[in-house]
Amino acid sequence: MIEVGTLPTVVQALLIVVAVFLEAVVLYGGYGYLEEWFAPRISTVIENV
Amino acid sequence: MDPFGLSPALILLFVGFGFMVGVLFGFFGMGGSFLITPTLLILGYPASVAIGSGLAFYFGTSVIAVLKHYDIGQVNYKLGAILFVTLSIGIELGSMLVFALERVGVAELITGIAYVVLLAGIGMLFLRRAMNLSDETEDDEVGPSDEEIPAIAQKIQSYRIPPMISLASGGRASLWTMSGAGGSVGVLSGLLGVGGGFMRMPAIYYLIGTPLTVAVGTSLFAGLFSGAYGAFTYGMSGSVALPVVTMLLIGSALGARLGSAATTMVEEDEVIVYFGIMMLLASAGVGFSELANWVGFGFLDVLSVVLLVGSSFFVGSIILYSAAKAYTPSSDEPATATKQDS
Repeated sequence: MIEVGTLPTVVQALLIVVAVFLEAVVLYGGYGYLEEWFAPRISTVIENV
Repeated sequence: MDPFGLSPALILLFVGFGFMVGVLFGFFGMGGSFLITPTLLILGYPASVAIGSGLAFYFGTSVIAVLKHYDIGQVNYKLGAILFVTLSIGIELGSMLVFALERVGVAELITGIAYVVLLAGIGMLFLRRAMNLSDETEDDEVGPSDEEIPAIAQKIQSYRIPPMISLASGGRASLWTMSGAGGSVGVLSGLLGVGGGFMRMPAIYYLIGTPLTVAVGTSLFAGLFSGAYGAFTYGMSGSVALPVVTMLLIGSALGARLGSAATTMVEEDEVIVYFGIMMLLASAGVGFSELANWVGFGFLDVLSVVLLVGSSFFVGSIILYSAAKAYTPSSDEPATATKQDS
């Protein structure tokens, strides 16, 4: 297994940028999916309350 | 064992704080990195790590913003490219300044003081905007015209120092004006770890003179790449705390959705005054933290965290409460969408 700390600093910095990018994409897509699934149910609950 | 190298309490704090920052800035339409960096400073992170993590957080929120506005309005790519280059040079200069200040041991002090001024300035601007909104009459729904260009901006726009660059959106602007606007915002980004959208967009609109929609789209475009460059620059020196950025993004991506949805249910002028006060309290919080370093009173550190984090939780809660209240149909008035998404 490759130890990240042993990689050149340029590669480590690039990995950070890529990691943040992927995290943002996954979070955007994931929350979007959850919103589509949960929002109508939550709306119904609030309206009933 | 602490997952991600953070204690459960810190994970909860970062996710919760990220959520509230997301709510605030989904609602008000800003990135929010200017609350992240001072909070990390107060929590004891070195200035370079606080700034680097703030820029990485800003990059993450920019990616989400671009995904949300898939076609990002109207982007002037030529202007965006020039701004990206000048912003990146500015960020590089700003980061060099931070590392130089760290070597002489005054980086935390200088960035702390800069944040006291910056947050207080933004707070005053929002309070002024709140007062202007309250002065407006019912039939003055448009508010102060967006087309009003301040005299100083008109003067800068009137300078025709060659080379002049033609813009696809119409008009021409001096390369020097573009470089000056991009470079100065970049230095502040590199120095303070802020994305600088709140300065970049007005700079494009007022100083370069593009239409508002082009300014918004181009600012987003340039901000995305300069955020990536900022994260890369600080990442080169190991000054990005990735676990912290991850926890903040987990909270803020959710909060931004709710904050953005709340804009259709809550009038901005109902809560804008609280936002202004929050920024002033945040400014005081950073000031108390700096004071604590000098006089050594531990309670000042606690007070600074309470002021900075607590005030954002308070204002974020007001937005969510107002949205829930507006959404819930009452017995005598129907729930209606009161505000158009801007």
